Amino acid sequence: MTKAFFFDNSRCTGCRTCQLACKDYHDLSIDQTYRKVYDMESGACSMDERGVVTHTCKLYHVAIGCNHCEDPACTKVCPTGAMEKDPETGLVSVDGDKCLGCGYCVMACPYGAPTLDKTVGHTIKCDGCKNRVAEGKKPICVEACPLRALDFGEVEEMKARGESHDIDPLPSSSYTKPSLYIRMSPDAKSSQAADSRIANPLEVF
Amino acid sequence: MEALASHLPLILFTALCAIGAGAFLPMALRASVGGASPAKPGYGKLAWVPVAVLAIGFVAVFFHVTVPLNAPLALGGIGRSPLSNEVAVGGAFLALCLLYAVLTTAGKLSANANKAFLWVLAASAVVFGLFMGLAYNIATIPAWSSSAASVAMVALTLLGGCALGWLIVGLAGKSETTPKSVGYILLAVAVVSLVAAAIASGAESGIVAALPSFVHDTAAIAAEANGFIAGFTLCGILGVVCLAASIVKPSASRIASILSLAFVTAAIVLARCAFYLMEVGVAF
Amino acid sequence: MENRSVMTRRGFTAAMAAVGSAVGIGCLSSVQGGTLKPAKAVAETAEEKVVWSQCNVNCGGRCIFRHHVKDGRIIYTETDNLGNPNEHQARACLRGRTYRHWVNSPDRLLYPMKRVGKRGSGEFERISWDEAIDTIAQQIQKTIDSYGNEAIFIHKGTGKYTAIGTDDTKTGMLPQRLFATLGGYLDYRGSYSIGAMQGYSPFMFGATYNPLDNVGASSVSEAENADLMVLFGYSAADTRMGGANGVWDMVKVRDSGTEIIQIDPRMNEQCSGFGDEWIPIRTGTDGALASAIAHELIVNDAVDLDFLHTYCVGYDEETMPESAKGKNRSYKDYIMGTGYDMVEKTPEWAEVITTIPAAQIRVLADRIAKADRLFVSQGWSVQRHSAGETNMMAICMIPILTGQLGLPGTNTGISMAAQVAQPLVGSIPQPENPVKTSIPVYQWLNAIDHGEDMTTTNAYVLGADKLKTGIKFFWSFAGNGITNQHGDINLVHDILQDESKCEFIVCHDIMMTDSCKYADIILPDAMVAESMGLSTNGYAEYYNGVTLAMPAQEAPGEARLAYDVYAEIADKFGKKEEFTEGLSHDEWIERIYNEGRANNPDMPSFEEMKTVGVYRFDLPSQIGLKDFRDDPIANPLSTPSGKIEIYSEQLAEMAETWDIAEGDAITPIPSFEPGYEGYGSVTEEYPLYCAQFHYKARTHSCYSNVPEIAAVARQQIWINPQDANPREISEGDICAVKSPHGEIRIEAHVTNRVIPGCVFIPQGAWHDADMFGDRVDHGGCYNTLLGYHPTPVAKQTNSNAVIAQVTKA
Ligand SMILES: Nc1nc2c(c(=O)[nH]1)N[C@H]1C(S)=C(S)[C@@H](COP(=O)(O)OP(=O)(O)OC[C@H]3O[C@@H](n4cnc5c(=O)[nH]c(N)nc54)[C@H](O)[C@@H]3O)O[C@H]1N2
Ligand SMILES: Nc1nc2c(c(=O)[nH]1)N[C@H]1C(S)=C(S)[C@@H](COP(=O)(O)OP(=O)(O)OC[C@H]3O[C@@H](n4cnc5c(=O)[nH]c(N)nc54)[C@H](O)[C@@H]3O)O[C@H]1N2
Ligand code: SF4
Ligand code: SF4
Ligand code: SF4
Ligand code: SF4
Ligand code: SF4
Ligand SMILES: [Mo]
Repeated sequence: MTKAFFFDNSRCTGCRTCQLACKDYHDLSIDQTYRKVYDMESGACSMDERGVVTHTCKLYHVAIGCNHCEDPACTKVCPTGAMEKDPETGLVSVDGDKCLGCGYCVMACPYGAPTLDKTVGHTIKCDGCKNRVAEGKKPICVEACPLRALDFGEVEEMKARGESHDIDPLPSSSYTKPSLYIRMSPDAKSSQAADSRIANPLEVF
Repeated sequence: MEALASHLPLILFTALCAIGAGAFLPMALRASVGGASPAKPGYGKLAWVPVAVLAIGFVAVFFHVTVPLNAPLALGGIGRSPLSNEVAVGGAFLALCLLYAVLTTAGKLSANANKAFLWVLAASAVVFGLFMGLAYNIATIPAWSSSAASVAMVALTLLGGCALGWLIVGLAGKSETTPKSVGYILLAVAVVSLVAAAIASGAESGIVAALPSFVHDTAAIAAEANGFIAGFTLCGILGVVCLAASIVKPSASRIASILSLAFVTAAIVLARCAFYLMEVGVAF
Repeated sequence: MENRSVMTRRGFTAAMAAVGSAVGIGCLSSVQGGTLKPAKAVAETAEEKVVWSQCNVNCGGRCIFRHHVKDGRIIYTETDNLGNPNEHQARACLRGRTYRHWVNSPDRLLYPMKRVGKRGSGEFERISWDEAIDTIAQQIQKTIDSYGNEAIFIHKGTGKYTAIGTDDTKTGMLPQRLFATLGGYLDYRGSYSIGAMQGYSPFMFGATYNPLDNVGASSVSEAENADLMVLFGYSAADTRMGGANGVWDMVKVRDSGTEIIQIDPRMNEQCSGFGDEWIPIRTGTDGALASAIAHELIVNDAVDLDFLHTYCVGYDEETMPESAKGKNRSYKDYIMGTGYDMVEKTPEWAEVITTIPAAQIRVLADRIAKADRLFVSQGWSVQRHSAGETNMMAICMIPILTGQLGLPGTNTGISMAAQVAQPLVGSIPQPENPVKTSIPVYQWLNAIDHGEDMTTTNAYVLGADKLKTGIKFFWSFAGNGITNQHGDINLVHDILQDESKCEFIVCHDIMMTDSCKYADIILPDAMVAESMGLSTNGYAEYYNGVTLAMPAQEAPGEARLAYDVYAEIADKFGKKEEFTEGLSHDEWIERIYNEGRANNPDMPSFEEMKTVGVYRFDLPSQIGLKDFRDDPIANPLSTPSGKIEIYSEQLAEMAETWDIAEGDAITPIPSFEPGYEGYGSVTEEYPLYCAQFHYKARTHSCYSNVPEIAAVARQQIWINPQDANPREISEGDICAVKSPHGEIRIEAHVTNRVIPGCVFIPQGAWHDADMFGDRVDHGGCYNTLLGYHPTPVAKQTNSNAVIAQVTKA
């Protein structure tokens, strides 16, 4: 019954549709987001003295929300138990009533999934669209992706479609065992490759 | 620097709790060694000083959480959440201190009971210091989850405790009659703690400097932290020198020990600043 | 703006709805002054209902919405979920996903307004609908009386593609219906999108040639049968973003194993994950690359001579028309350096121009030569350039030289097929326009400024030798093309200041756009979500379908349907009956739907459609010019020779007889021309080529004012580190960009995804300048920088040709 996400990195064009569909459905304000899209670049495009151009550029995108990890860092540090992993679906979500707003989950999550919302007084984050999932639907981001680069379902099915990979800019999957299975594009770099960089810092931080 | 501002409550909490808790060590030591007047087994109202310092620390921490009313729920994660563990140990320690302060000011403690209680508190202070360090044992934040973080926190507890405790001992009028050995033991503890905290902090910044990151210039963060660590070391040295002066020269003891506390407090705050600067996760 | 995030919170929306008001309105009143009529109380429906609708902006996607509606407001939007997700599913893109914020934007127009300040000042006063309609009717009458109907111009507006709005075929346009009823208007030809392509490709492929239909071009899906696909400036991932659009077809092409090469000055989003596909090229130099490829094909004997001699005119001396024989005017002469400029088009020659290493050009030519099935296509940016006409055709020479056209897995080299040939439903019919004169759409500004001087040979006026009058009455419906989307905003401003030239301007829109600031009267329209709407799918995808949109919420303020407004205007002339034919807006939709259904009996009944919303099916792929290839005798092209005219006598004659601007060239064969502010025109003062692209953050200016999008798809100028470093520009710095025509401020995006020497600006951002002050545009609108210089033949947009300097502001 445990659920997982699949992400086809070879299809993702970084369009942000998943992100804005999520924001619309969850009614998030401009500066809140449950899902982010990282534009990853590496290599160079340069012109020599003769005016001739060569390039070694690579580009790919990583769209992630919460990975509903098998071994979540967030629940481990949460003092109140507000951050909870559903034993059945494996979806990790915050119980706003219990949350202290201590921000430990925010610090602990290596994917930047939870954020502290001072106006509502607790941490907020991707809940895996648990209400939709309970109704047998897929999360809204998954159904939104025009490229069908996202999927969600039984962990075994998702595993069959992509290996759980370490892809830049995500940290090694060994920390939390994310329930995220990725099909890598030819240009994807594995975690912490020396020359890959987040090209859209102002859009994700 | 923004990070520091947002962590201010935690800086105050850890610094004040370290100083307050650690103070019981000199108090216990003085109570156990040399001829204190048997008629005055305790420290009287002065016993409330470390309790007050602790209490201010605990008040400060409430400014860190968004929903203080949910604070009791923080005990829900005992065993799982290092933060819950810290809260539990801290809470228990505070309760114990209160109990001691109430009993001793009420004169309900015999000299031996007083001594024993103080040693229990001194030992608990070290445990509390340890749990304050362990609270940051978040596997995804390497500098924090390293054992250096706990070593540093225990060392700060002892260092801060020496400064505050020695002042209390002096205020209680007990330093004049105190055998020099007590002072020297404390001085040794302070020096060792200072060195240990500096080395441990340096180790943490080394971890940060070595972290790969997409957004953080980890070398720059480590360098900034090193600045604070240097400040810590400098203030720490001044604090220890004043402490030594107050031990060696009883005539100057009052002023020297006040100065010592001031320098040590500044040192600890700087060390905590360095620590919070080093909140660099394995991601991004 | 501060409180906008609060304004859009659903809780707030619901609360506002409960008191019978509309979100956004409170905010608007301060923008526009005056008080608001409270919106009609919305029936309290605690129940959430789902309403089918559609996105009707001009990216051609026409994606499907399922608005979730509660208490009379859209609370969130889902998209097409019908059928198999691995087939066409018209999933909305990021923009559509913010529809609720767009439709409820504080920029919405709420009531008619009249201008009280100077044109461009943005000073308006609220007026009643009666006053607006009276004024407009009087002004129409006055214009007709003084100048005749030819003085009336309806600008192209692309913001409302629906059966009662505007359409793809230009036969069902609502304002055109009104003015045809009132005696006619000066018509426009072509579009900003593909004006040059539409106007120029017929010289090669024939008068009836349409680069967009499934006769003249292959569907992208056909590329699945190719082994090599070569794309010049086409990125479906940027411009065909919906889930049933070209981007989805491209996924399938890649899955099929077809190798892809993308020639673009910018590593576009379609290269995501596949960087090896990218060959960077300097803007405006595709003609040079294509010519060098042609050179390699010729010297390596890789041209299909049989095909060239059977199907084409003008490749070599053998097939030159009589008029041009023996003059070394063939295409081969041009390439081999024996005719025209006498320069051999070697890869070394092209290397300097295009920046592509000669060796790489040879490899590319070799891959092209070796491909069994070659699919060549181009986006529309190449031709949206001062020299785009001939450079665009030069690209077509690749499939022509190799005979890779009209066969499975091939394409004509020009665009790709869209399903526009057999729409399932039509749109409101347009009576014939009594005025027969027309101009290329991009010429409207000239026609305001000096229409009387415009002729066929200097301005491509058709239907008459020259214009009788300049444009005096200007109507803009669902368009932001007076300033924002038109070349040289500062020049437009200057020309429109003289109110004796264009006497009256009406903007009929939904937002307070920059163009609206030049209107004498502004009319507020209701959006598709606020009414019934009907449309076939758009031009960006290859499937067939129709969506019936039902109203999801009420129009704000006094905004109302354009149809009803136009009926009232017609009424002032006693033509209401003629205009409406006795039908209401919704009755027209029903009628148009049923007419479509008569031809496609599988379509559900109109009543059923109200709840099922969508009817659609996939189409088999199409091969461009297949009939012609199969049998050129039975199915000749509509060119004078019936063949592909590599050499066009028509163009040769125009080159002799037309007045063209200095620096422009008309060539009878596809060649490389630099063009105005094109290759080689950079100076010390303006050392960079500055081009533009269509950006995910908006469809032209639509959705551009949605802050939710702007936060995650920022308006930034792309600049290579090699250009940024010496200027000490780093990511996020605000830059000043200056061209000979204007100046903007824009944030820097320092990236290796753009070729050194060229900078790129996402077009469509809202112009934001004090036009009576320094005119510096803080919105970062590309058209502030663009000089107005219609292309040599088609006289259409030159919007990729700008030289500029970038500095840290
Ligand atoms: N520099 C440069 N300029 C360009 C281009 C370029 O590539 N570079 N591209 C050109 C191209 S290809 C095109 S097609 C044109 C497009 O130019 P326009 O046709 O002007 O396109 P938009 O800016 O989308 O303007 C559509 C308008 O319709 C309004 N609208 C939306 N919905 C409704 C509605 O329901 N009713 C009414 N009445 N109005 C509505 C919107 O508010 C908006 O003002 O721009 C051209 N301009
Ligand atoms: N997101 C989004 N999609 C849109 C629109 C929009 O505004 N936003 N507008 C829609 C409309 S109306 C139209 S007309 C189409 C326009 O579609 P296009 O005209 O195809 O779009 P552009 O982005 O102008 O250009 C496509 C690509 O050509 C590249 N390019 C620019 N100059 C050159 C050149 O000189 N040579 C080569 N080889 N490549 C070059 C650009 O970098 C870009 O990646 O898009 C439609 N789709
Ligand atoms: S919607 Fe799909 S393609 Fe677009 S950014 Fe998200 S995952 Fe990538
Ligand atoms: S991604 Fe972060 S928030 Fe989500 S389960 Fe994993 S650790 Fe927790
Ligand atoms: S912020 Fe809330 S959810 Fe996060 S760790 Fe603290 S109590 Fe748990
Ligand atoms: S699963 Fe739901 S909450 Fe999470 S990112 Fe996707 S849409 Fe947002
Ligand atoms: S903007 Fe275009 S692609 Fe996006 S939802 Fe609208 S029609 Fe579809
Ligand atoms: Mo267009």
